[in-house]
Amino acid sequence: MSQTITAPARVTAGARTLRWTRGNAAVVLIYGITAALVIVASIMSPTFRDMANITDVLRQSIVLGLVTIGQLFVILAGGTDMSVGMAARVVGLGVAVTLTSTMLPPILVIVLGLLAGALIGLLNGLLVARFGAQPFIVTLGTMGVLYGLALAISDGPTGMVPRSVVAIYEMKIGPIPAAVIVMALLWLVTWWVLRSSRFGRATYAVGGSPSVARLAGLNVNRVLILTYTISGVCAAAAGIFLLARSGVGNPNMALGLEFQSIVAAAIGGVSLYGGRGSLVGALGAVLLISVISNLFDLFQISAYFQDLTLGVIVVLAVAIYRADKNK
Amino acid sequence: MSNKAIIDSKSPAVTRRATGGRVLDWLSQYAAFSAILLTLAVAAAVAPAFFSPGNLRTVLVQTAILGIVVLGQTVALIGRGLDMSVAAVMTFAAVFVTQSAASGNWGLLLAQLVLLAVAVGLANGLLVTWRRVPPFVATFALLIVIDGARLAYTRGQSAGSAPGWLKEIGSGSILGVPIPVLIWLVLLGAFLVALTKTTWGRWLYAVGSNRESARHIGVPVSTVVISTFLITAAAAVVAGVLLSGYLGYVDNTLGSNYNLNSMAAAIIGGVAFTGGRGGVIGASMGALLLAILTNLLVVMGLGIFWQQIVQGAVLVIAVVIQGLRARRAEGS
Amino acid sequence: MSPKTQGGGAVPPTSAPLLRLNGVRKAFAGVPALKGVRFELTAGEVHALAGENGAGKSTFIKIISGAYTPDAGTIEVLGTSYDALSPKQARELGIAVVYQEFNLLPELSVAENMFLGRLPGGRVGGYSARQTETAAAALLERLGSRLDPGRPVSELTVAEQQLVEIGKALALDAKVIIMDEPSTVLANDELGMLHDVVNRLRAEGRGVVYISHRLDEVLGLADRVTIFKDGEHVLTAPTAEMTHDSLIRNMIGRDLVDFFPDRTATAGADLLRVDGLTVPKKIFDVSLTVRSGEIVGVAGLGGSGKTTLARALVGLEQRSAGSVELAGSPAPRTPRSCARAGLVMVPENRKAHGIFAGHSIAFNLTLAALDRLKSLLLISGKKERALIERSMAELDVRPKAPGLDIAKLSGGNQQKVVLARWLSGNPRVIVLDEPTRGVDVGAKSEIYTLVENLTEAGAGILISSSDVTELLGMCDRILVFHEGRLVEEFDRAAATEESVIRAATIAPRAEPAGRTTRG
Repeated sequence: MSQTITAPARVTAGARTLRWTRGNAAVVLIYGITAALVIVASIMSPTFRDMANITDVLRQSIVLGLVTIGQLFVILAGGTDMSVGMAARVVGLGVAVTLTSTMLPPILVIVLGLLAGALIGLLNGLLVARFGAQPFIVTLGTMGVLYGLALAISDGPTGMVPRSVVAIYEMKIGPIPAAVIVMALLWLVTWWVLRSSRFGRATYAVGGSPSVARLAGLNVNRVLILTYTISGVCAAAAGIFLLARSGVGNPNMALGLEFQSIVAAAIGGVSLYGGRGSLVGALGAVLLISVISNLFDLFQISAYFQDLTLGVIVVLAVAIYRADKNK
Repeated sequence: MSNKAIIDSKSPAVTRRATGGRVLDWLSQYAAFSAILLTLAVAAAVAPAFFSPGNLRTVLVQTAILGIVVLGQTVALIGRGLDMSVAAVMTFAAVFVTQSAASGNWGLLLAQLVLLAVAVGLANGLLVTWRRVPPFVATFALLIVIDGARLAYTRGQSAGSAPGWLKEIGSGSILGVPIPVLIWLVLLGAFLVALTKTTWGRWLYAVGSNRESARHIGVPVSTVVISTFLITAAAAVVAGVLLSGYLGYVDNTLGSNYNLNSMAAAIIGGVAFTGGRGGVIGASMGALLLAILTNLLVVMGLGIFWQQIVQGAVLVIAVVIQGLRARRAEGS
Repeated sequence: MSPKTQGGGAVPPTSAPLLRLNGVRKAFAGVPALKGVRFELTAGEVHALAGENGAGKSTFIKIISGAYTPDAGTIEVLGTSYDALSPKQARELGIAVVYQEFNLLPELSVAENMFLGRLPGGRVGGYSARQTETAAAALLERLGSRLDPGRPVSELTVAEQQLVEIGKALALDAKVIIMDEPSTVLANDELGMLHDVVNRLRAEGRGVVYISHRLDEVLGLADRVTIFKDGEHVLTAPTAEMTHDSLIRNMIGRDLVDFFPDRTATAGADLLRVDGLTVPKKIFDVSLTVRSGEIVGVAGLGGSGKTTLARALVGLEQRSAGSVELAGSPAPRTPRSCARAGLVMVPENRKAHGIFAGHSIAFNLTLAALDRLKSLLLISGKKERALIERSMAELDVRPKAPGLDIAKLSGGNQQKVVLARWLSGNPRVIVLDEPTRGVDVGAKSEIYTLVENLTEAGAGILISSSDVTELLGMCDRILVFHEGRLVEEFDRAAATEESVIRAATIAPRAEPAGRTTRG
C-alpha cells in the first residue's frame, strides 16, 4: 500500500510566480521603494524627470551594475570578491596610461584591459579553488596588492584619453545611451545564464554545498575559477567605463566599489553565504542605489553628508532586512 | 585523493607527501616567527641601516600600535567575526584628540573617546547579533558611516596636530622602553590572561567554535559577541590616540592600512578566520612581522606602493597557508 | 536528449550476483577496521547489514562506493572483479549510496537535484527544465510518489528529501542501492513509506543493502542479514531463520536480558515538578513529576514534543504557561542557572549542539564547570586537571588523552564526554534526550549502568527517547507524548512495546493522563 504525497505533478506558472513573490518579499519591496522614490522625485523636482537626468541615472548605474553582475556570480558560488574596486582602478588607470603614452589602437588596449581583468580574476579564482584560501580575506589581500599596483601606475591624474574611448560613455542610439542598451542586454544574458544554463545551475550548486556538487560530478574548481574570472572582467569593464566617463584616469576612481556591489547583492536578497538569491533582486538594489545617489546630487547634499547618509541607509537596509534571508 | 597515500607509510611517494605536509604544518604554526627571522636575515644583507637604534625603536613603536589593534581583531576573529571599522575608529579618535589639543578640555576628550568606542562597538555588535548581519558587511557599513560622520563633523578638515603631552607619550620612553610598547605589552598580557584563564575567554572560544553548542551550555552568546566588538573598538581608540601622539599630527588617512594589516597579522599568526582557534601571542608576532616588513621597505627606499603590495601579499600568503592546512586536515 | 535513465526501470535477470566481496581488509594507521569480510548481494534482494558501531559497516560501504580503497580483497560487480573502485567507477557500475546526511541542494529543485551534473541540454550550455522535471516525475512515480519535481528541496519534509535521494539513485539507474540507516531520520509513521519504496526497488530487480539498528526492520524488511562484529564477518543468514535475540547475540555476544542493569534504587522525594507547561505550537499542558532515585521515560513519535519538553525544562524554549519546580522552588530559566541549581539537560544532537569539534576533550569537559574551577577570579589549572582526570576515569572515556581533538572520538565516547560535562556538578535532576543515539552497543550499556548508578546516589532522571526498548529496559514509568500532549502513563510492569507505540501513534479518546497529584 503506497502513500502518495498530495501535490499534483504540474504546477501552474501563475502559482509558481505567487510562491516566488511571497518568498522574496524583500525584492518586491526594493522595486516598490525605488518606484516610489522615482515617482515622488519626479513630482517634486522637474530636474529629476528631465530625460537627460533619467539617462544619467541609468548611465551611472552601469558601473555598479557591471561590478554587481560579476560579484553576483562570485557570491552565488559561495565566495566574495573584495578586489573588484581596485581591479577596476588598476585596469582603468592602466588603459589610460597606455593610451596616453603609446600609439596603440584604443580597441586593442581596451581588449587588453579586459584580459587583464580576466587574469586578475583567474588569480583570485586559483587562490580560492586550488589553495582553499578563504575568499573574503584573500581577495582583501589581492585588493591591497592591486591598490599598490594602481599607485605604481599613476599617483596623479593621467592625460586625457582619445575621443573614441569617451564615446563609449557618450554614444547614443536615439535618446538612449548605447551603453545602457548594452548593459540591459548583459543583465538579460546573465539572467538566462543563471536560470537556464548548466553553468548557472552549477554555480548555485557549488554555492549551496561544494561537497554535494562534487559528489554529483560537477567540477567545483572550474566553476569557482570561472566566477572569479567573470568578476574580474566585469571589474575591468567598469574601470574602462569610468575612464570613458571622466575622460582621464583618476587615481581615486572606483573607490568603495567592492563594498557597494556586495551591499547591492545583499540588499537584493542574495544570501552572502552562497547558493541562494536571484538577479532580479540584485538589479533592483543597483537601481535603488543609483536613484538615491542621483537624488543626493540633485538635492545638493554636501559630499561629506553623502557618504554618511549612504552609510546610514546601508546600515538601516541590512539591519531591517529579515535575518533569515542571510542565514 | 586516495586515503592509501596518507596512511601507508612505506612508499616513497607517500613519504614525500607526508614531508610536504609536515613542512606545511611547521610553516603555518611558526609562519610569523620564521618569516620574521627570514626578513631580519634579508635586512642584514641588504639594508643594515635597519638595525640602527633609532630605526629599531621606530619598528617597535609601530609594532606596538598595530599590535594593539591586532589584539582587538584577534578577539573578534576568535569569535568568528571580524571588524573592518577599526581604521575609521582610529582616525576619528585621533581627530577628537587633536581638537581637544586646541581647547584643552580633557574631560570632554575622555567622554568623546569612550562614547566613540561604546557606540561603534554596540552598533557593530547589535547588527551582528540582533539583526544577524554578517560581520564583514556590518563593520564595513559602519566604516562608511564613521568615516562619513568624521568628514561631516570636521567639514572635511580633519588635519591637526596632537597635544604636547600626547606627543610625549608617543615618543617617550621609560627605562629605555618606548611607552607605546609598554602599553602594548601590558595589554597583551591582560588579553592573554583573559583568553586563557577566564570564563569569558573559554566562552569566546566556544562561541567561535560552535555557536549552537555554546548556546546549549548556556553561554550568553550575543553578549559575548557584542563584547568582542566593544573590545575591538576600544583597542582601535587606544591605538588611534597613541598613533596621533607618535606621529604628532592627524590627517584623513591615518588609520587606513590598519584594517588589512590587523587581519593579516592575526591570520598569519595562526588565528583562524573560521573562529575558535588561535591566540594573541601568534597574532602579535604577526604584527611584528608586518611592522618589520613595512619598515624594511622604507629603509630600502622603495616607494609607498611597494608597502601596499607587500602588505597585500602577506595577507594572501597567510590565507593560502591557512587554507591549505584546512584542506589537508579535511582530507585525512 | 532526455537524461540517461533506463527505460522501464527493471533490471534484466542475471546469474551472477550483483555484488560480491571477499576477503576485504582495511586498516587505518595500523588499526584494522575490516579483517577480511565477505558479502554478497543478488538482484531483487534486500540484504540487511547489522552490527555495532565500530563493527566496520561504514568503512565497508565506503569501500563499495569507492570512497575508500581496500588493503586486500576483491570486489566483484556483475561478474567482473576489481581490486578497488574509484567513486566514479562505482557510479558508472551502478552503485549508489543514500547516506543519513542527505547530499541535497536546498535551493535547487527536486529535478535539478536528481539530475545534477547531467542536466539535459539545449544548445549553448543551456538546459531544459521541463525535460528534467518530466524525467524526474517519471522516476518519482516508480517510487510511488507524486511529488512536484519543480519544488525547491528546501520546502520538503525529511521523508520527502530522503525520497529525492533515492530518486537520485534511480536516476543513475543504480542496480546496487546502499542505504545507511535510512530509518533513523524518520518518524515512526514515515517508516511505512520508506519500506514501501524499498519494496518497489526490490520488485524492480535492484539490490538493496540496508543498514539499520532497528531489529524489527531488519527482520521484517530484509531477505537476508549479514552481521559484522569488530571488523569480522560473523554470519549471513535468511532473516526468516533469525530472531531479535539471535541477532543481538551475534552482534554483541551478550544476551538481551543482561543488557539493562537491574533497578535497585527506590524512589524518594519529588525533585522535579512540572505543571501545565505549554510551549506555543509544540507542547500543551504538560504535567509530570520525577522523584529522587526514579527514572521516568518519555516516548513519542518524532515531533511529538519530547525534545521540546527536554529543552523547555532548562529554558531553551519559550514557555507561555505552566511552571517548573525544582526541589520545591521555581526552576531558573537559563541552562546555566539551571545547571547551577542542579538541573541539566543533555541534548539529542551531539554534533550540532553538544560538542566543540576541533577542541580538546579537556575543553569540552570543563566548559560547563568553569564557575567551580576558579581561584581568585581566574581558572585554576590545577583544579581543571583534577576535574578532567576524575571525569574521564568515572566515565571511562577512551582514548585517555585529554588533549585529543574530541572530533576524533567515537560517537559513544563523545557522548560520554558530553555526559561528563553535565555530571561534574553533581546535578540532582538529569534530563537526557536520546542519550544513546548513534552510540555503539558497548558504550550504550556503559551509559545505562551510569544512569542507574546516578539514581542510586539519589538523582532523578528523565529520559526522552525514540528507542522504546531502551525506555522499557530502564524506566520506572513511561510517559507518552502524542502531538504535544502527554496522553498515557505506563508503569514499568504494565508497559509493552506495543502499548507504548500504540499510545504514541493513535489519538486518545479519553482525558489526557500525566497530571500527577500533588503531595
